[in-house]
Amino acid sequence: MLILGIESSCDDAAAAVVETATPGAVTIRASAVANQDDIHRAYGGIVPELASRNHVITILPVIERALRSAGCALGDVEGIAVTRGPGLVGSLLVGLMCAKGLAQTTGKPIVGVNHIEGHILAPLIEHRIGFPFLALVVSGGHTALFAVENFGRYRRLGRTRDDAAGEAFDKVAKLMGLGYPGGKIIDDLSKGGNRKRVRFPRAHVRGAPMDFSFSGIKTSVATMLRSAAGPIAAQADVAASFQEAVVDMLVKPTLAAARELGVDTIALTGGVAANSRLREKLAAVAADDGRRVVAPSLKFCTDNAAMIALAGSYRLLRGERDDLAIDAEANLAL
Amino acid sequence: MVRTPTSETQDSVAVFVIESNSPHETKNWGRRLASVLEGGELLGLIGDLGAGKTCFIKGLARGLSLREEDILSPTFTMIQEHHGRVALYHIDLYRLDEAGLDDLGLREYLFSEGVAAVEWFERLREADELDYLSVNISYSGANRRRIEFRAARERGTLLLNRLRNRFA
Repeated sequence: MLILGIESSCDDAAAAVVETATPGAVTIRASAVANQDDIHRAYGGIVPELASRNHVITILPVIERALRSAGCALGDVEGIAVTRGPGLVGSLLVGLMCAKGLAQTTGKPIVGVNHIEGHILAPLIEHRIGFPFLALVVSGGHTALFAVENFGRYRRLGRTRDDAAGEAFDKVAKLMGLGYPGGKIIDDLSKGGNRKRVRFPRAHVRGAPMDFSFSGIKTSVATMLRSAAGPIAAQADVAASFQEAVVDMLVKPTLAAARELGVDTIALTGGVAANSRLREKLAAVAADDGRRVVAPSLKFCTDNAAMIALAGSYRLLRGERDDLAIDAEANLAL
Repeated sequence: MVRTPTSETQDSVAVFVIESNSPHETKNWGRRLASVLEGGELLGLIGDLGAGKTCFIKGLARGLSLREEDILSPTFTMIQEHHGRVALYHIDLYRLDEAGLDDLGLREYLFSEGVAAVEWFERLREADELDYLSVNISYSGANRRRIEFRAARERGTLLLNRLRNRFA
């Protein structure tokens, strides 16, 4: 079955064509992303109105690009999977309306996909993983642990109580005057820094060992920068120390969840899964505990439409379809 | 409800300042503020990253009989709705350089029967035209914060006076 995936929940518009015969086993024929970083960089963050306006311009060309590089025509597509939430509602609507229009005119079935389910299943694009496994979804808007029991069966074990991990990276980068997006800048800067230079506190949520909290670290960095030590500390050391604290605060609940669940595979996914220190340390700690960490390659960690096509594929393969009246939901729950 | 823009001359500014010695105290001030809310109020949160805006709103939520742990940073989604005794609309303008009332459908939340708590309120272009209570949290030590409540119009001033009379 040939599936067209469409994603526009935030600032990237993406389209992908995947081929699948059995749920979870997909061949990526094409995956295209129209990235807006250059547009939003000037503002130091995403401007929703600009994002949705740009999606209007780029959504059809990015779909055409995906179809062309897959070597197929719209008529060859047998099903459409599209993100319907969570995300910025103006952005979501562009991809969803476009997908509904295509479904309407071609008569092909359409399914609405939860963006988080896309991230949870993204590791399956390149790896064979048996159920159940543990997924750590960590990005600019989300930080949560899920027990993945089967397609469509996800149990949330823990989540952030305040900020997402990626948000902490962005905001600390801003505090340090480093620019946007913060995750990559801090990761790169940290490579030349001493991660033991500043001992930032590792927050944990009392009575909830699988939950996260990242708002305190932001305050700790702000306080440190304001102190007498602030102006003389090397930026690379502060960045590396901060990153190490965030990584530790992600690793500990994740390991606790893996043990609780008794699974040997931990899937690390979402934009922050691109962080090199997180990959390195989680893999090392998991290996010591007799477990393995599986992470998608970079292009499938960040927002993409291949994961949306994959997450829609098991339903399309079963012959399911959603009504054309499906709506975008900014706060869609999994 | 007196929160629509008016053209009359601005009333005198009312200010109430307290010191908080911990995140716990900051949260408690949120709870106290909640105890004088009736619904339909606009609260403008102002303060640097890490000052404690979301912390204050967690206390506010608790005071409104909502679950504190459901209050997450709305930076990514920009608007989070919570429905309890009165609705709480938790809005975050951080990712916007500046915002107008017509962006993000803000009007719908700011002129509702619920309580609208807006972080990075200073980025709202039309702020001066609205009747609100601002909560400005600033660093005065590692764990110390100066919290300044300020209001210039009728509804905001009423809230501020209630808060001061009850808790000063």
